Amino acid sequence: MYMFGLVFFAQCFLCTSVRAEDPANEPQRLMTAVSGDCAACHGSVQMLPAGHLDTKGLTLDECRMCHQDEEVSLTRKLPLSHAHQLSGIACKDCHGDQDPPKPVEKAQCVTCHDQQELIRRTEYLRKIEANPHDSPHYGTDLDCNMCHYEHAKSELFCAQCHDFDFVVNSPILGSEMKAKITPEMNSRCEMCHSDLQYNSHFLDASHGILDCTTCHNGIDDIVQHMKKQDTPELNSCALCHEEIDEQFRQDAHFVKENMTCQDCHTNVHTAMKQDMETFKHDVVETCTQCHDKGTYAYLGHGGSVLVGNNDSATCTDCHTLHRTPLYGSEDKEDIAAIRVMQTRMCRTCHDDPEVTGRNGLALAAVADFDRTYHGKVLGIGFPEQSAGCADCHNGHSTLAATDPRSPLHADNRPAICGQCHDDFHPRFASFIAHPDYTDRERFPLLFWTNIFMEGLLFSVFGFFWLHSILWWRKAYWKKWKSAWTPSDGSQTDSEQVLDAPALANPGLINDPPASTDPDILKESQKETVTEDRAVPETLPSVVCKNGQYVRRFSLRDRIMHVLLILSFFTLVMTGFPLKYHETAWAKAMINLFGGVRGAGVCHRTAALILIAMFLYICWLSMKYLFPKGKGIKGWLGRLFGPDSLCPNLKDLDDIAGMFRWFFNRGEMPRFDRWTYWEKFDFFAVFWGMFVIGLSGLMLWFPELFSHFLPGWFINIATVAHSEEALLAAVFIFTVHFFNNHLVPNKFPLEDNIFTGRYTVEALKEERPLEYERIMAEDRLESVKAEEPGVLTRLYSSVFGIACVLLGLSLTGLILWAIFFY
Amino acid sequence: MKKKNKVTESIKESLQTPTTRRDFLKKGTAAGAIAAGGMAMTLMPKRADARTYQAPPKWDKEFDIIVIGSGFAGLAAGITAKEAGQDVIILDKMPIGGGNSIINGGLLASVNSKLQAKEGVKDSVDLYVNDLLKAGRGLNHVELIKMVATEGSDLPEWTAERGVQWNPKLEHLGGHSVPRTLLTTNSSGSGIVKPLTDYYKTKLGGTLQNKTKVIGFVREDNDANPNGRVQGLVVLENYKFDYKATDGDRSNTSGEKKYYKARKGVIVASGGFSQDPFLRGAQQPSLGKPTDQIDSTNQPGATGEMLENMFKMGAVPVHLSWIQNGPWASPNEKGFGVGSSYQIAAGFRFGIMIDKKTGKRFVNELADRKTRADAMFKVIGDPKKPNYPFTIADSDEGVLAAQTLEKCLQKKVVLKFDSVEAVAKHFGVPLEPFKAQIKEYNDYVRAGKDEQFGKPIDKFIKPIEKAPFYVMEGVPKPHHTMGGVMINTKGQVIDIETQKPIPGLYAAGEAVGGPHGASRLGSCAIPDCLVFGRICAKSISQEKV
Repeated sequence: MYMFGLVFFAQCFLCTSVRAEDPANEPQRLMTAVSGDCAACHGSVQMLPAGHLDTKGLTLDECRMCHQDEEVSLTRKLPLSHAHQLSGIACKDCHGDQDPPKPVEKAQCVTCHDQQELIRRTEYLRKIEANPHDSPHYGTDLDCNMCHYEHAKSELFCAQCHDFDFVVNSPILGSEMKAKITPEMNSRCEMCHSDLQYNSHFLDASHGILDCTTCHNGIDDIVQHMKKQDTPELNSCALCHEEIDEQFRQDAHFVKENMTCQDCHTNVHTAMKQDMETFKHDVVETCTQCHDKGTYAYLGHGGSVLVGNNDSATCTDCHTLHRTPLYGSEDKEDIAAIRVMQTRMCRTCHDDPEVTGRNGLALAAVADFDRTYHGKVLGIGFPEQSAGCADCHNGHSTLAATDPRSPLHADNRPAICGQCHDDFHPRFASFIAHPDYTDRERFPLLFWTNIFMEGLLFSVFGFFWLHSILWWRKAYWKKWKSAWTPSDGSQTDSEQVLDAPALANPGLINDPPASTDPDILKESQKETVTEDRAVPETLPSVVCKNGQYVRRFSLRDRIMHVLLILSFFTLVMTGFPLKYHETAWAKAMINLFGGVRGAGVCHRTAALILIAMFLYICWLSMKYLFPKGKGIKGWLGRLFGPDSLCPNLKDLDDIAGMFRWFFNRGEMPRFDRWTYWEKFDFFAVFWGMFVIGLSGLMLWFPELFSHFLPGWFINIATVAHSEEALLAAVFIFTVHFFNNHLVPNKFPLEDNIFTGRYTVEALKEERPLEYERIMAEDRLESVKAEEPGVLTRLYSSVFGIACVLLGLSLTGLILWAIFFY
Repeated sequence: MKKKNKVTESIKESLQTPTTRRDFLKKGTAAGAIAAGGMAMTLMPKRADARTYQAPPKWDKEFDIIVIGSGFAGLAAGITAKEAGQDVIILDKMPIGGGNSIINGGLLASVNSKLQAKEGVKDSVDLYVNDLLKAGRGLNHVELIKMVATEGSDLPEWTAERGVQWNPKLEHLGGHSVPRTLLTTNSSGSGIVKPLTDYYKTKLGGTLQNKTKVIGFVREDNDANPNGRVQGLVVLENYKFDYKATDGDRSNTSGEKKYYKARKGVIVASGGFSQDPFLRGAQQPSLGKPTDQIDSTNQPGATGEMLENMFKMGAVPVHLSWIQNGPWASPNEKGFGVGSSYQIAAGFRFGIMIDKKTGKRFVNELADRKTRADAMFKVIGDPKKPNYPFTIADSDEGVLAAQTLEKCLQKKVVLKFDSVEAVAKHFGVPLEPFKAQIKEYNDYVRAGKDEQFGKPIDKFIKPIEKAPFYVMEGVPKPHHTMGGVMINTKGQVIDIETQKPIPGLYAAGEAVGGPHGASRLGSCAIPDCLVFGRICAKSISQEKV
């Protein structure tokens, strides 16, 4: 073939030169010549090399089957007339029938050759020199035959003045100029594959800039190819679409069904750039070629897309375009993964106020869902233990709950709940999956519960934080002043004088007993002098002994407090991650407890301990009120007596007194055994246990409670539990910590709750009334205690300070969640 | 009279049937005219009835006015006539309209234009006329350029109303005292021709018929009316201009002969003859070579047959031998190309032009076009074995700044050498005299005065010494033919015998001689064409027939 080509080429050249020199050899222009019959026009001049096939009757397409390679190319070897003649366009088709034939002008050429298309094809030349089909001088007025000669070698008209390197085709057989746009293709495949989709339409399509062989591997044997034996293999689309290919290799369609690009992209030859206006619609149409239209496209999202709502989700919005996830439907992990994916997909639109607003959907459905246990557990990353959007809403035919076909219709709802929950009363289904706390119309009880809880939060914190701040100011001011004021006894500030003994608190192990300081001692003596109170004249000598300890808490109390601390921290650390599931720390914290399940077990265990202690306290209280022997007699006196934790009228006076003291309007009140804030701490637990414990049980056993409470009560329980927990935790970590440990004269820790004892001086200082009672009743011996051991103090301090720090850290995290999420 | 009879006798010998008295007179006068213009006697017609045609029994087509040529002048005439409600046709022998105008540079000088007023330029007709007289060596027909100046002030608006887009700022071209030149937005005459053609064809519904070559005039001819009216034309329809022809397409007889009647007359706007070897050779023998040997910057259809047809009828030849040759062209590319711009901007200005045989300069590189071209032709000698001179410039800033330098190097129109020796070796120039010449010139530059040829040395011109050196061969190419027929201020062509207008014959544009004198000033051709195109059409529209 190769040699043959060279021979042919050489001969052609020879013939051409012979013809050029001898006008007698000019070919005749026969209107009647048959395609491929060289002799008809060229006479005896041998136009073809010896041994060449007889070309008579051959078409250009057939010539091309051999003349593919450049060595034997017909390109620019034949004047244009041959291209036309061999393509079946006879002389008369352009020249007409008359004799002499009429000259051919542009008007004739453009009946077949689209002028705009020609301009388009040579448009790239405009940047180099000029577009010859839209000349800067002549526009589109130039006649085709100014350059393209039918019966002679074509020339560039521009070349009269310009040295442009444009190639003028003669004939137009796969010239370089065209080749730059569609190499090979135009000159090869399209000649046989003349279907519009392979040539003119293809050129306009997205892939029109490609050559056929970009996708179809070339063929080796044209004859075999024509017999359909040598079919070119398809190149992978990944040649260009590498990224998509990578995705699609993990796509369910590929993995399970072995589908290829063409299964969906059925029109690669004519596909134009996707019109994004119709994209969603087109996707539904494409997917439902295999997937049942009735199931997937007529209701819900698909149906909405089909009627033209581009806000609605099309198949690929949830299933992704080229990476439809592959899930084995039974596998637990897969179910969870599907749940996560679906929920994420749903959120992309339903959490977008623009989309929901535009379409009249619930504006905060997603945020509301996130308030429920379902949302929280899902949000913190344990989808296998919760329900996602599609578990209740059918993904493909999502309908309004009022539609009886909807799984969320009141009649169908218990069945939906029953997918996960057992043994519930049908009213369980009245649970509000998207509770809107602000919707007073629909959820009045929820609304008022939320308002109440928030009111409670604000009022408690409002009061106690103010209380603490004022206290801190007062105490800090005093401490600062005493540190800077010369203590020469001339000090007349009554505050200073009165409160100086507060510094005597032997809070820390290393603190020397304050009373050893002669100055302070002097002050304290002063106090006893200035104070005109009924202090017994003769105090037992032991009292005056420096550092004598008295018992404040029994071992039982101390154990109970440690248990309380441990269970309380457990509850906070396992509960708050759910409350603030969207924070970064929530996930880390819940994982400390082994995830939602582990945390759940810990939470409930701690809750049980707390409940047990609560019951025990109740028992102890009963025992205190109605002691053996005395029974009911005098119980009121005990209830409001100085040893009782029950608030009494004196507490009101004390509160007023404290505020007076804060504002330098009086002395600090003299407390008895229990201060009013200690009583509040105690009773807060009672209230808390009632609210938090009851709601916790409801949340623990929602199905059980559905037998005597409606399903939406779970929502009430959620609000109550959650807000009360916030109240309790932040109250303990701020107010309780401050009152007992962080107040300047006790900072950083009051350890008597752990050691169970403190000095008589501290007793006298902090609870003068109790001290006086003890003295009056001469009970000192019975409350005397040994000084706590070093280890006891060490353990107490380490544990106490650790708890304070932990509590403050947790407060930080909670505040962070509140203010920054 | 006696003398005339003698001439008649001699002509009788060569001509078989001189038809009328007037006819024969014309032959005589034409011959005289041709002689006066320096033309060869070969123009003498060989046919009995060669000078004009007689009216046919039946005309093939009839019009009020026929315009020949579709360049600036032809379009201005066609549009004006059409707007005046005339039945007009524009003929062009080429397959595509626009003539040379469509490849022109698009510069229009307009005196007292609105743009001048806006830019505060003080101009006047006298100033303009003086500028043209200076360039034209005083040969200009002043009444014509006065017309151009006075009638041309509205050209920017007139053209803009018909679709032409002009740059919003005036240019100040060499030879003009003040800025008065507008430039089309595409820097080409096509920016005028294309919109005007569209306007004429689509807005006015005018006809522009290409491939129609005029081969002669039909003229009223009877004894009672010795100064007969031009009645129409004999044309070849479907004329196929042969772009390969090297003789200006003289021997082409393609097409069908048709008679077109022009009731009111004919406007000849057929352009110049830069691509006509015979006619240009007649004026300047060195240009008499075929077009493949002597290149021109013009379109191939710029030939002189329409001038000759008018001369044959007795039109007065004016300034025919003033052919402007562009000395800045390159023999290594066609037409104006990219080399000309380099040569103008850099080669001549910053370099020197060397005769390869001597290694010496031979002309002031900044002399006027004609001086330079003449000197170059002398050096070139036989165009079959041309000795093209070359310019040599060094790597001066000004040279490197030449806009087309890169393209010139790409197309090998300008060559780059590392040393003077390499240049000498490449062209076979005797090295010693060549080096001596460069040194001599450099000394002149340093001295600030060119003792050799008087090239004006300004502060930008530096000695040639910084390698690499840029070299471009040069050849003058016919660019514009000053000469043509004589017209009056109405555009009427003047008869050499009666010295009065030939009835029904008008001419405008490059086909007219006179306005530009010996040398045309840049940007003055377009206003000349447009103004006289309009004047012709106005005059002819008023003809009573």
